This record gives sequence, structure tokens and C-alpha cells, in this order.
Amino acid sequence: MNFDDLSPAQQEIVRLPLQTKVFLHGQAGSGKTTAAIHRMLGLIDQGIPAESVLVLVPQRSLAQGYRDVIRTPNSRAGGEPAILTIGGLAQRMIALFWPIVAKNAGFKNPTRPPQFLTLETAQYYLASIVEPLLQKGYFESVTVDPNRLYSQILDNLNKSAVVGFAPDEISQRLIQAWAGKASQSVIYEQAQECALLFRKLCLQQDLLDFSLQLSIFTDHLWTSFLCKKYLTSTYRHLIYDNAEEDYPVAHDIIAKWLPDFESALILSDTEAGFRSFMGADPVSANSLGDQCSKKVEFCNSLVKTHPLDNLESALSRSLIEHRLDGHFDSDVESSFSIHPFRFYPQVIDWIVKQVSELLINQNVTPNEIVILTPFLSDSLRFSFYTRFTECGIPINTFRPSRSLRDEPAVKTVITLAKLAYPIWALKPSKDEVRTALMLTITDCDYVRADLLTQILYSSASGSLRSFDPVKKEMQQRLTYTIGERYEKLRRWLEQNSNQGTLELDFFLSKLFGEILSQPGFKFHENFDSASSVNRLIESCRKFRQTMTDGTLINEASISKEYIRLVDEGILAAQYLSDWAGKSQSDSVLISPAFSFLMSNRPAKYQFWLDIGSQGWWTRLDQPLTHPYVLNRNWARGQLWTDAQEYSTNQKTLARVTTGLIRRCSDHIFMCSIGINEQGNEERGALVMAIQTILRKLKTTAGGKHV
Amino acid sequence: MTLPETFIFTQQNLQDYIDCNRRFYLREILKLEWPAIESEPVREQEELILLGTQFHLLCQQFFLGIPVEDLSDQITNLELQVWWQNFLKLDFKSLNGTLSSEKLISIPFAGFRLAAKYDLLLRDLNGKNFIYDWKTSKHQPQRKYLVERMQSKIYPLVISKYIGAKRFDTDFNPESIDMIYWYPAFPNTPISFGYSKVQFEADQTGLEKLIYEINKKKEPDFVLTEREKTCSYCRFRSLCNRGVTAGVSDQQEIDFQATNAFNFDFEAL
Ligand code: SF4
Repeated sequence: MNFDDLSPAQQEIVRLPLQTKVFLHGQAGSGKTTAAIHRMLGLIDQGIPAESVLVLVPQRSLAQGYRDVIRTPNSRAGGEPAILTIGGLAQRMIALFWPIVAKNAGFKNPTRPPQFLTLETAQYYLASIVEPLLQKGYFESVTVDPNRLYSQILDNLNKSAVVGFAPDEISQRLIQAWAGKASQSVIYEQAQECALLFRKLCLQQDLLDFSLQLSIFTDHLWTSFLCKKYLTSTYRHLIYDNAEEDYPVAHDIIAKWLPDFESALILSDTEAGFRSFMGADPVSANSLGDQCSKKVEFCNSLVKTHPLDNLESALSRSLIEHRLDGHFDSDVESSFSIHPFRFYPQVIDWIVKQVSELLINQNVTPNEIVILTPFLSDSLRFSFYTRFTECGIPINTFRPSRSLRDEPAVKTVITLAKLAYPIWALKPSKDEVRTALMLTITDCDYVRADLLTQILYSSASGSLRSFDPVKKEMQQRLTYTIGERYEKLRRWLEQNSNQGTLELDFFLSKLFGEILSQPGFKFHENFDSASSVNRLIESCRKFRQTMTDGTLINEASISKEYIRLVDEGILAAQYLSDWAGKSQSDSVLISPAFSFLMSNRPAKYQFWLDIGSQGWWTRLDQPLTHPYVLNRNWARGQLWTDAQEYSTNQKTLARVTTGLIRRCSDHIFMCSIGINEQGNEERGALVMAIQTILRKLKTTAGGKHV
Repeated sequence: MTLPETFIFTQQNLQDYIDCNRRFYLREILKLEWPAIESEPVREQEELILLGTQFHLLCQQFFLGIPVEDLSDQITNLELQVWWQNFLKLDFKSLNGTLSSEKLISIPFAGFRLAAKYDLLLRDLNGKNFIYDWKTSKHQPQRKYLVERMQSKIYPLVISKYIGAKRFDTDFNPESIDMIYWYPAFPNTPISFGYSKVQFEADQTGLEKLIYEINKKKEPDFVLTEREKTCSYCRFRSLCNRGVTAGVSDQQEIDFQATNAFNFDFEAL
């Protein structure tokens, strides 16, 4: 978009005098980010070195627009603005200034390099602390799987870092707000103990999880002369987008830093703060406005139509007030339609047909359509993928996290590793071996894979036998080609396990390159499998490198330990996929509603799937933590009651629907399903609120939706 | 095939193209993740990459003003210790001029952007510009090998165009640029190249032609290299049916921008 295409309000932002600090707020879709991108380009055009501009965002996906524009050939010669999250900036500063900060921050071995923990390696170290305590009866009354315990304990530490309270206050805060049975306080105390033990271990072994990185940045680096000098002299201009989605400690840092910037543009969406479970705090974001010399509001949406505007207000009122009193504009009718179905497959077929119709008959481009759901399960994604692919419609899915260990290619290589190393005594099951052979050897179908397994896999020793002694008739039945490929694989596994000490990540790389991706094997041209195995190898390498530097486990056991932890779901369970980077511009998007909100892009048509689902409303069950209590806006001493739970969920849903409608420019197709994916009938808050609108429409205009 | 407007050319991806058109296609256009081993011995290579990463970080920390004693305390590896002492002997502290380390510069070029990441840029009081590149390989290559590398063409060109654009000086004199490959394991035999207007123009024309050629190509035009030896050191060899096992590299050069050398990815933060 050229400068001349901007609205007068946007042009005014771009033209503000250089040394201005401005707080720009307004609804999503009012053109704030576009104005900020042009402001950034304007600064660079005025001769400001691009690398002196700091673009801060709460989440990487929100920075795509900035990234794209500075990489076009139209941008001037020079450096690039730094586009970072506060967490990313903290990690960068720790890496650079570690030699001067490690000792003061309390690390036991300050001369060793810092080990930045990923979510999975943090869970691993935490598990080493919690597992023995579980044996002693800790968390006995909590019925969630251990991995969810670990993630909530880490989440508590993260909350202490992002909200800005001491880690030893976690349980106290949670207990004070607890309105249920007194026995819960024991659970909170145990979670507290685990969190503090984990922190102690980190300091002893130079390990840095997210919470420790952020605390070191705020408590030690920000106050260090050298680091502060570096930051304030390197970054002279600030653009802070979606400040409302960031946490209060990030706002505190910016509040202190603001006087040092020559210019600042802070952007905040109204009625947002979707990342509340990660500590997003619109209240503290707004307080940054008081420190800016100018406040500007963009009032008008550049995206949604008048009927959509009415739908937004009607839905929000009906969710929060449960009724629609007073004036009601019936043009809302054209903004949405309701489509009831009994079962999931029917709705999928209908959506695919409707999307085809939009693409073919109404000249809509695929990227103008999104299909939104509260959660996106693998089976749902697969069903859509199959149906859309049959119709030749490109699709793209946003899955902010996926379970790597559930990928078939990953399961296959793990099974093969177990077969190569019977010494680990991690014998794969017959099912696992059959699947691995079927997914590995070209032309090997289920029946042949099953025969191979029955005849040649010894479940007692956990190893494969040679194909050669197999009776001729059976060899013929299996085919010689498959036999040859099987033998090649078997011999390779045997030879390479003899090398004994090959690290697991190297072993898997060799297995992939020398066998699985060679002609005659199924990964040869399967890019998705290659990508999954690549991620597994990366995860495995990071694990090994972290472990080798620590003292927790000896080097020889690392490979076995890694496999055991994958099996238990501690490792490779969550792996962030870079969905922002891979989003395709020419495809229909299928996404969880939250991920779509965090991608900062509008769509002409939205399909809301299963509006009866409780998933639109219900908060994740987290018995060890609480996003609203471990929050700066929570008044300590207050009790968290059912009434608060209910009203918070209603408000959160209203925020989500408002956010979605603000990102729609034409029509929302709302699909209700009688029987959901789990076979249940649901009537959640969203469908109830929509029914309130329908009733009102019926009384005012004889509405056609009903 | 038209590359996306946001495609960035670098010395690494253009070198890929020169080495093998297909590799450029697989890596840069398909962005294919192919986790095979590139070359052997894999453990030694990993170790060397880690050492190189630490060395680059130490240099960057040095230029940020972190006291030398604090930095020296961080070194536990003997080889790195030797490299570090050799670096300190260069005595950058006493040099007069302006220094910037780990600087990324990109320029508009042939309808795209062309980017270079400099380990160290030094401008002395006489207006002479030195580009330093730390090469942490265990063997020093011959000069004629380096002169042909894309890095030797792109780094001086990008900085010349950048300085020219910054000063609105189309007549900026490229003679003021020296490119120095400095090997901490061979501190006394840096390999340096002067630069000239003739070289600048030749490189500019050559690179423009190359980028034009790449952008014009369709998928089948990205052909497999005829020099099959290259495939021994390429992770895509199974995909291209060009062999099974990785070749043993003489570790001529490990390029830090071509590897995922840094244990954290700044881009990913
Ligand atoms: S294997 Fe050979 S032909 Fe294939 S991409 Fe690599 S270098 Fe090119």
C-alpha cells in the first residue's frame, strides 16, 4: 500500500514529527499496524538507520507485516530493524552479556556458557525433580497426566516472572484466592516446592528456562550499565505493536525505557488481550499511554461492514447481559447465517461445497476464507484436508503446537532405533514393528508388513531376523524385492548399532540419509516425513547438547533416556511449529480461533464451526495454577468464586467473538452440529447468545435465520 | 519461476546456486528440510562448529566492551584459548577508527535484496574500510579458492553500495575497501583482497546476470550438478539419487552463515 492510499488519520501518524512519542489505540481492523509500518518506513526514509529501530511484538506471528516490508527491494540500503519479543530480547542480552551477569545472578558456575532451555528440556529437568516426589505421594489427589503437572509448575514460574512477583509467593497467592476444599492448599504448596527446587537446580547448573531468562533481564541486565548502554544506544526508535497482548513486566521495562527513545509509537487494540493465559495485560499496556506525549484513537474499522458492526455489538451484549434490550438494527441479518447439521461429516461436506461455490462463482480468492474452530484436532484437520484436496482447493492450517511424537514418521524412526539397540531393552511391540515396516519399505502393504513381523521379529529379543532362511514360498509371497529392501534395512540397523556410541541424533540422520530416503524406501520423496524427522533430530540434538553440558546423566545413557522420555510424552510432546512463517497466501485457512486472532489478518468470509461447543467458552482445567489469580489486576485476599469463573468466561468469549468479527469483512457462516466429534450433544454459551439474537430478530423483523 | 519479492540473496544461497542449481532450488525455493548427514566426520564437524560459534560470540562481546578477563574466564577449550590469544594480539583496542561487529547490511539489487553479515567492519582515520571475516576452519585454503567464492564478491560490493547510498555518493571509490579473511589458527597469514572500481563493476554485472538468470528459471531448469563429487558433501544426495554415504570433508571451510551454527536463532526470538 502506498502512502497516498492511507487514510488521513494514518497519514497523520506517519507524518508526526520525528521526536514524538505516541500511543495509538483503536479496534482491530482500524489500520493501526499499517500506519505503524509506514511510520517505520518513513523513519528510515528520513535517514534514520534501520537497525536503530526496535519493533517489539508480543508474539512473532504478529510481526509478519513488518518483516515483509523491510525485505522488499523498495527499502533503502542499510541494516534491518530489530523485530523481537521482550522474551527474545532478554535471551539475546543474556547470551551477549553472560560473562558479566552470571555471577551476580546467582549461578554456581558462571564461567560455563548459559544453557537456554526449551519447553521440553525444561520439562525434562523438572520431571527429574517431580518424579521422585510423585512416588512419595505428591499430587495424589490431582487427576491429570504428569506432563500437564510439569507444564503448570513451569507456568507458575512464568507467571511470577511476567507479572513481577517473587517465585516463593506462588502458593500463597493461589491459596488466598481458593474458595473450594481446604485440601487444595496442600497441592498448591507442593507445586510451590517443586517450582523452587527447579529454580535451585537451574542456578546450580546454568540452566535458563523462560522465567529465569526474563527475571535476569529485568533484575540484572536492565540495571547493568554496559547492557543498558548497549540497548539505549543501539535502539533509538520504538514501535511496539499489540502491546495489549504483552505481559505487565514487558510494559514495566518499556515504561522505564521510554524516556531514552527518541521516538515511540505504541499500538494497542481495544477489547483484546486474548493471551490472558500467558499474562497479557491490557490494563498495564494502557498505562503506557500516560507516558506518551500524544494519544490518538482510530475509531473506524477499515474492515467490517455496518451489519457486522451490529452483529459484534449484539453478540457481545447478548453474551454479557443475556438479553438484547433497546434498539436493534435488523440489518445484522445480512452479516451472518446459521447452518444446522446433525453430524460432523455433513458439516465438512457442506463447508467444502460452500467454499467451492465462493471460489468458483463469486471470484473469491482462497486466502479470503477462514474456517475457525475452538480446537483443531488432527482428525478434523485430516478430514478437511482430504475433502479439500479432492476438490483441488489448497488449504493451510494453523496449529500453534503439535505433538511431534504422534507423527507416523517419528514413531517409525523411534521404533527402528529401538530395533537397532536391543541393549536399551526398550523392545517395540509387534504393532509398532509392523507399522514401521509398512511406512518404511516401498510397496510393503499391511499384509506383507504383518507377515514380515510375524516371521522375522523376535519380540523376546527385540530384534529382527534375516530374510534369507525364510522358506521359498513365503519369500515369493512377500516378493523378493520387498525381501531385499527388508534385508538392507535390517543389515544397516545391525551394522550401525555395532558402532555403539553413535549419538542418537547422528544415528537418526544417517538412518534417514542412507536408508529411509533412498530409492526403494518410502521417505524418498515424502517431504512431510522428512520435515517431521528433521524436527525430531533437532529436539534430540538440543537435548543431548544440554545434557552433555550438565551433570545430570552420563553421556552413554542420553540416547536411551531420550527415547524413554519421548515414550512417556515428556519430550517431543509439544513442538512449536512455525506456522507464521509457513502460512500460504493462496489457500483457505483452517485454524483454531485463538491462532487466527494472533495472526493479525482479516478475512472476507469466516466459517465458525460447531458453535454449540463448550470449547468456545470453557477454560482449560489447570489445578496447579490460575491465570486470573496470578495476575497483576487480581486484588489479593479476594476469593475466586464460581460466579467469577462464569462471568470471566462470558467476557472472554465476548472478546473472542468481537475480535473475530472485527477481522471479517463480509459474512460469517455459523455451523451448529447436533452430535459433536466425541458423540455428545452440546449447547454452549455461544449458541445460546446467538439464539438470543435470533429471537430478537424474529420479533423485530421476522428474521430469516430462525 | 518468479521468486517472491521478499526473497533475499546472500553469499550462501548464491554459492549454493553456483555449486548446484538443484541445491538452490531445494533449499531456497522448496525450503526442504532433509535431515541427512552432510559430510563426515560428523562429530568433529559439530565440535568445530561449536568452537567457531563460541569464537564469534567472544569477538562480538569483546567489541561490546565486556572486560577481556571476564571473557577469557569463559574459555575452557585449549584450542579456543589459542585462537582467542591470537585474536587479542590483533589489538583492535588501540586502533583508531570506527568499528562495528556482527553487522547486517542489505541493499536493493537486481529487483531483490542482497544481504551480507559482517563479522567486523573497521573504518580507519584515513577513510579506509576493512572487512574482517573470522574463518575458524582448521585448514587454510588457497587464495585462488577464496577469490572465486561468492563471499569475496558480495561483501565488498554490498558495503560499497551501502556507503555510496548513505553518502548519496555515486562516485564512491571502491579502492578504499579491503576484505580480510583472518584465521585464528593461522594468525600471521591472513588472506586479504583489495578492491577496485573495475572489480566492483565486474562483480555487479556478474551478480545481476546471475540473479536475473535464477529468477527466470522454471523448476526443471534447476538441474543437478555435473560435478558429482559435490553430491558427496550435500545432504540431498538420496533425493537426487547421487549416492548413499556422506563424503569425508577436508574441512576446507565451515561457513557460519551456511550452518545453523548459533545455538540460538536470533530470527526465531
Ligand atoms: S545431491 Fe548433488 S545434485 Fe543433488 S542437490 Fe546436492 S549437489 Fe545438487
